[in-house]
Amino acid sequence: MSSGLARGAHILVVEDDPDMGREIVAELEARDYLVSLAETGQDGLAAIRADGSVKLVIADRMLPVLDGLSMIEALRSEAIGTPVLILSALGSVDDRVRGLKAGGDDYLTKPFAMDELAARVEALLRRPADTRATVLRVGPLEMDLIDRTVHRGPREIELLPREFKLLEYMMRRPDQTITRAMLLEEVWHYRFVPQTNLIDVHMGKLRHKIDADGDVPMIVSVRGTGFMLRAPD
Amino acid sequence: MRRTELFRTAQFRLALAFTTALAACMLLTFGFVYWQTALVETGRIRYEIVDEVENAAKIETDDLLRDIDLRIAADLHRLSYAALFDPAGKLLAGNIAAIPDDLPIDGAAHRMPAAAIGGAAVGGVDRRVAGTRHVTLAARHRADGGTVIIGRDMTEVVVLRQTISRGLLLGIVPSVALSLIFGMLLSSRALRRVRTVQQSIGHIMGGNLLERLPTRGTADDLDKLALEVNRMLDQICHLLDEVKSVGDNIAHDLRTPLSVMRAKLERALAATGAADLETVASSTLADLDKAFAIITALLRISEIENSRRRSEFGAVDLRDLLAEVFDLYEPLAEAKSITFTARPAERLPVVTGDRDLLMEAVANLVDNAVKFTPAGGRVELSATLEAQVPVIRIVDSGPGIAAAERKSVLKRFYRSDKSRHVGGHGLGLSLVAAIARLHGFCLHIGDGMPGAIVELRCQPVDPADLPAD
Repeated sequence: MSSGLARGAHILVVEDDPDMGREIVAELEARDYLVSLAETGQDGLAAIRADGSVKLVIADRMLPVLDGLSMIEALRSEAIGTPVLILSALGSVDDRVRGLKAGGDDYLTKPFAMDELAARVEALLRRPADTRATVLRVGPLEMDLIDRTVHRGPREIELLPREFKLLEYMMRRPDQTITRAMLLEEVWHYRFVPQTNLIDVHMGKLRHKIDADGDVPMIVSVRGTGFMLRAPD
Repeated sequence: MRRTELFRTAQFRLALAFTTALAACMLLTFGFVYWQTALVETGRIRYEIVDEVENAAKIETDDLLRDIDLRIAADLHRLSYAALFDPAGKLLAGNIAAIPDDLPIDGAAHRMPAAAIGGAAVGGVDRRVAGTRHVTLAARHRADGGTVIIGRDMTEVVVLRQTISRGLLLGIVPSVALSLIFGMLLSSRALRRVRTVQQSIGHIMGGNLLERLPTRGTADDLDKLALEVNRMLDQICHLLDEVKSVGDNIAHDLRTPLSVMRAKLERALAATGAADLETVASSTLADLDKAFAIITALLRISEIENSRRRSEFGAVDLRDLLAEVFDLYEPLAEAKSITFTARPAERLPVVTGDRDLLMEAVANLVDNAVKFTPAGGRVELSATLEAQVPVIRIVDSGPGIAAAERKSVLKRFYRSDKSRHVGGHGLGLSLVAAIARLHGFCLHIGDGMPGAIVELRCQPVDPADLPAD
């Protein structure tokens, strides 16, 4: 899947706070998405029903007229499967669970970094295509999920189980920014942010094994945000 | 004090209920006595008269005449009547002048006004009952055609009945009045106490949270209630103080990063080069993230502390938990050249808890240990079973925590002087403490000589739940 598919996708932002709405729209437009804005859950619902081109909905939880969760439930009951990213000022685990149960696909707590939002938007727009594949390939990197072996070109790479899990997650999302929070949530199933630079240390070890001396680096840092696995040109 | 208020107190109502019950009791008792005297006594007399007249109708005339004379002579109170008439209706002997016209001669007892028999013979009767005097008479024919009448003046019974009613009236009215007065007294006393309590509550609601409800030390129900309310007020004050100190702490800890950000932004305004602006913007962002981290951690602690939910609780395998935390932190320790080991005991029971929260607690403790232990040191994570209590223990070779500081480190924002230069917001241990409290676990900080020993003592488990060997 190429990054071209995500670019230009139509995203509907449902947010009643004008400042917040404007910032999100500006950020997404700067990243070449086609963005429209609705201010109430009712308007958001109408916009999605009217326009089948909406590929992703970013919805605030607290919305006038119809709140975010009810809006999502209404969508799902009409069998509209458009992915929804929930934004909320409520950060507790319960609220998160409730949001995902209502049919949300991801949940982001305010305040969030715009880079984090962009990374999650990209992840939702480009969901891993074939989850049944037994061999993953990115450039010269090849992962056999059955033998649990990894090769870069002819060189076999010995990985610890946790490193294997981390690399698998990244190989399913090549050329895509992956944030530290996403890794913690998806790879380690942690719902909290440790104080230390844990993920960087893990990534450092993995990178050391993947990108040996003289290799073109495949795991690159995205400044201030996270990491990306990229095939060498 | 308004009168209606006086009658509305619980005390007065109780007194009223008591009075009603008392009056009902007295009425019942007197009613029984009245019934006994009026009916039973009257019945007995009537039975006697019927018996006597039947007897008198059978015996010889001479014996009867002698009996009548004897009877009248022996009756000092002049309550008895007896008379014998010949077939023509002429009085032969006795104290009744003539056969009353309306007296059936059937041997049965009949009640008649005293006037019917002339009332002459009777004397010494209370004047008050003179108008209501009556007699009970029974008459029978004799074999020789004569008529015999036996009777009795019933005034005594009437007097007795009237005495009883008077006694009832005299007894019940003062009793009822007395208990009502007593009720009113109690009521006004209770009202006075309620009034002082109301005043205190008014002061408290007015903002004087240090005011307490008055108590008398008598340990009565009102006193007990006041003591409980006072204890509740103490607790509320304590919580408010905590909230206030948290607020103060937030303000204090946020002020520093905010001032730094402000200074940086001011400098950025004065700067000219785009590179300068970029540096300032990115470092200001980092400061903001720090401030957000503080707020997030605080919200999280209060979320856990206010959490009443245990619905997320399930069986947590300590061996798995330790393995996962070890897996997460091992590279970090390695990067710092710290020897990190995890040693869960072979036999460990599952504990009941929220897996994510327990993981967060243990991860925080390990995070701290790795952070404060200098390069080349060691951190040991273990889980053992000690006298049915599963214990998670983290031992490090860092600077340790002085005995005097062990309590304070659990408080929000407390940071040991030694740790000022180390990153973090000082909320980690408070978070662990909150999680431990939610689970009913015990967080204990000890001395590792050198270094610290931090123990998370779980709730004791039933020996039957232990996995088999």
